[in-house]
Amino acid sequence: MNIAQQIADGISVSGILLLIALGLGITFGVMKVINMAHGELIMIGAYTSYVISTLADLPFIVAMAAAFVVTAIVGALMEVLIIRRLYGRPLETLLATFGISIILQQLVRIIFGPAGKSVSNPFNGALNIGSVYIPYLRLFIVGFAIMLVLITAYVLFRTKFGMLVRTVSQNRSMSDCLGINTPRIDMLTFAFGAGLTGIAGAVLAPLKNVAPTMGMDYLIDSFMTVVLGGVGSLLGTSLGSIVMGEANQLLTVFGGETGAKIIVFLLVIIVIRYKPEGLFKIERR
Amino acid sequence: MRRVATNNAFGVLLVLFLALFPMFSSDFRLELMGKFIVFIIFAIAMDLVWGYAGLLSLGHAVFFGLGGYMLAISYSLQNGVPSFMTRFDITEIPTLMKPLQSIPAALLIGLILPSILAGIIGFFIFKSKVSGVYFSLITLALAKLFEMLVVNLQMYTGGFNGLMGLPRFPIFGEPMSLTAYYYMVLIITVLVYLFARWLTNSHFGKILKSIRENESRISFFSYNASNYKIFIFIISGFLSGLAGMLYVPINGFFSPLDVGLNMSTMVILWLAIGGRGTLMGAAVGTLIINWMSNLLSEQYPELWQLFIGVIIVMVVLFFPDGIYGTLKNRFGTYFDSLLNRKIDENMEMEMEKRDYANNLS
Amino acid sequence: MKKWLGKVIAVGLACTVLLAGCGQSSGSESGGSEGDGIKIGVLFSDSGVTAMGEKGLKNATLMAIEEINADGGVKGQQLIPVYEDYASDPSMAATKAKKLLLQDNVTAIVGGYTSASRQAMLPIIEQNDGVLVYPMSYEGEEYSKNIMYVGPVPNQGLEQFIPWLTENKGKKFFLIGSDYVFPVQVNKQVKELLKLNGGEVVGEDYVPMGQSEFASIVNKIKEAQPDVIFSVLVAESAAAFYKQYDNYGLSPDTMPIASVVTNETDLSAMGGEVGEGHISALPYFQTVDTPENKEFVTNYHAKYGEGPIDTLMQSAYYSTYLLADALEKAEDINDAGQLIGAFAGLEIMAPEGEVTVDPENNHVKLNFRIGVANKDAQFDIIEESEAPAPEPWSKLLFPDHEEPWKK
Repeated sequence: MNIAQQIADGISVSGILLLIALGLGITFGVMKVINMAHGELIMIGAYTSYVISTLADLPFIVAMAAAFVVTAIVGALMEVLIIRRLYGRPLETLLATFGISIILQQLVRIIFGPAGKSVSNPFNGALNIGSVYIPYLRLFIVGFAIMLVLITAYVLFRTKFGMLVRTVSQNRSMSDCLGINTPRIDMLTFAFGAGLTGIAGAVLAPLKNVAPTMGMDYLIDSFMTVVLGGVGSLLGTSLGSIVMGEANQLLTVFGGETGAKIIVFLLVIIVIRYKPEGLFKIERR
Repeated sequence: MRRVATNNAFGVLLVLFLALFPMFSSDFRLELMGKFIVFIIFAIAMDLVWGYAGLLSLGHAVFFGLGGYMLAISYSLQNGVPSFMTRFDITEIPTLMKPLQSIPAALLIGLILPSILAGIIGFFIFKSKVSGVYFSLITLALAKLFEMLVVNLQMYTGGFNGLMGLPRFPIFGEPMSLTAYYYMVLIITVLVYLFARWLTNSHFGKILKSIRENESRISFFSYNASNYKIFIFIISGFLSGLAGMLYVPINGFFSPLDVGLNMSTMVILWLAIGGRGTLMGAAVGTLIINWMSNLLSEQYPELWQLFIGVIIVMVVLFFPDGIYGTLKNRFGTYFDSLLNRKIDENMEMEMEKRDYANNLS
Repeated sequence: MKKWLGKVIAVGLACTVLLAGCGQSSGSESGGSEGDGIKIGVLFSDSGVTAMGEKGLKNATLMAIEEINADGGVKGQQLIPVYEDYASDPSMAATKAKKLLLQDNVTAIVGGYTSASRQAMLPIIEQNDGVLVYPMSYEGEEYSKNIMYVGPVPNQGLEQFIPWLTENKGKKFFLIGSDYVFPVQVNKQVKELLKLNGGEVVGEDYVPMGQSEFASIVNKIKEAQPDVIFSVLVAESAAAFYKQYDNYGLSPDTMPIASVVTNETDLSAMGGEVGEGHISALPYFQTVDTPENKEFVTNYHAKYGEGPIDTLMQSAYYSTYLLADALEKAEDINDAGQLIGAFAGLEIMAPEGEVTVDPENNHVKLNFRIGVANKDAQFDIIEESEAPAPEPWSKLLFPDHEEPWKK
């Protein structure tokens, strides 16, 4: 077994996990919304990418931008119509978003049919270093995931919007008193998180499959990644995805595909039990 | 005490309806109703942990599945080594599974194993600072884990395809008729309900509710909250295992879909829509959602899931107490006044508080 | 405002419940009054994970029923389809099968997709003496006197395919599949056949259902350097695997993926350029050049729009025709024994060519084709012949299995 290749693949899997978990890091980590429709946002992003790059034959970058916009709009609608009415009742949000996930799945199925769709690979070829072989598409995903993290960090920590987001998430009533339009900030934050999730779907579309039920597979992985790294911390989510990705890839050598998954889940459970704040949460206060 | 009259009247009506159901129903609908009544037990088990102790378990089907699989595997072992084992060149029943060759033993194991697992999980989780959402996420991971294990250990469990051709109702040796099985399930469900009601109205139940409302305060009264939570989790695991076992003969089939995320989320839905923390809501929600899914899917095979999704969102948004909870809050008073039992609400709350304080001391 | 909305919704909910209830009762009434039709249950998934494959089967079955009715129906009566969705849940498949048999009194059911769904239905069909026409390929090792199995069992796809592969593509095989009974059983026969044909297995791996990450599998494959990758990956895993194979720069010229499941629907899900060059052995491809197939393809596209047509859809289509023929032939169509008996020996010109029902074992003798996928997500057919007789218990694996239909 080529261990170097396995580690390289682990990095690419980490990139994928980071990509799908980043949006959840915002909606769950910052806003504390348990969004069971997270997987369906990925799915909508993937379908947008199918419409733009396969049906309309436009460049992939357009598909990515469109995926961000479309899912951000869907996210904003979700927030305004439903989630907003349930703040402070996290478990009810969970139920409502579960209902939304059923609705979104069925709507996409009605529009596009249940069969899988194809999105062609915008980056053919692979990088070859010695015995290690990394497809450009996967390389792009890792790079793009890192870039999104940096952009998100910039937005959250260097812009006025980010400051407001952090303010609202830390103390809502105080923010209200200070005249911050909290409902608007909530909507924008959720839309931002949803948009990031949508881009993830668009970027993964050429690599994985595009079908109405695709989101279910990503949901649990995303939650586990966010929780493993530490809820509410960008750095935590990033490091969490590296741990999950590498563990998954390296363990397949010993445990096979299912075995690796089972061990990783056990590890995550143990981490939540002993360190619910996550492996890498740095106390800021 | 005011609400008890409503609860009783409604419960008696419901049981009466269910008891008379076989008289005017076809065999097919009767079997469905039997299945849904089994689900009520599962929903009650869920209500004990979620509605009363405030612990939303996203993986409760693990206990349901464990109970069910014990009986289903036991049935499969009745005629020698089953084909799902011989397919993987297992020619002898593995030693660990030998006890399951006896159905009574399987019945016992199917009740004990989920309880033990619930105890272990409860001990593991509640003896730490994990709470709220994190508890839900751990149980979510557990459900996924259990599902993967069942699918992966296909030489022992039948894997993804599930266990088929399970005999109908031979719980006590000779096969029962559908109607007999139906009444047996109904009686067990009523007993489970009465037990759960007794438990939640007891001193223990009051402590549970106060743990849900304010855990640190109850700890301050020198109650060990985690022990209470572990205990209710064990009871709930036991009842879920019971439901799983009763489900196997009436469904005739048991597969990983009945034990993983799918089933875990379904039971939460029934409860949320019926109304949690009332026990009766568990019954109402289970029956309404299941009948609705069934009838809607017959009428609108391409759209029914959309309806279900919309209904879930609407109930969560506009009836946060669930259907039964809302009905009870709105009409319960009116109904009771008809029975000349109108008690001044403030007075009653005062009494409840005193009652509560007495119990605490 | 909120209160008002709540009331509206309450009324809406109540209406939905009533709607469902009323629809139910009126449905059964109308069923009773239409005496001069033969009811056929159609049972596939419109939702859930396997809906991606099942939708086409449902469409093809309903289309066949329409065509048969347009031709005058069966015994002068129209066929009345009663469709049910089982949401990819085997337990629900059993419930729905029961509903079709007991509530709707259908004469036969065309349906089922996964083996799990068939197995869940089997006892229901047997106990209520119904007839199930199952259009899927499956792992075999099953016989029910109430089920007509119209898909190929593994020996029909493999007996010619494996020798062809070892002769034309190489001796070293890497076996990969989804982790459940069907792929494991297929690969068992593949291994036996490889022994006979001087091939060898250089690797074997199974992934959980629904898995879409194949980096380490591809890694293992590159280490093993097989001549042929034999894949029994199903549903969404198939498309993901072919895509990632392509990403990693492997080429079908030196290491093609061979499959007995990957069909046009899968190709269109992965995209033509990804699937190009890979090989499938199936009874039917959309490109089959027979007049029956041209008509089938044209009609299907006219009715449901342009989309891939695969062997399973075709199988569902002619299954329905076979059922119509059996209904015509049987004296008492409500007697399951007679109806299943009427299938024996039936011959039909299906889109794939001539198909014959085995006189004894409720399986069919069909065609064998090898196709190489092209850029347009279609197959170029390079080999065509009659498939061997169905062996539900493969003679290779079970040389002295007592055949249950002879009892």
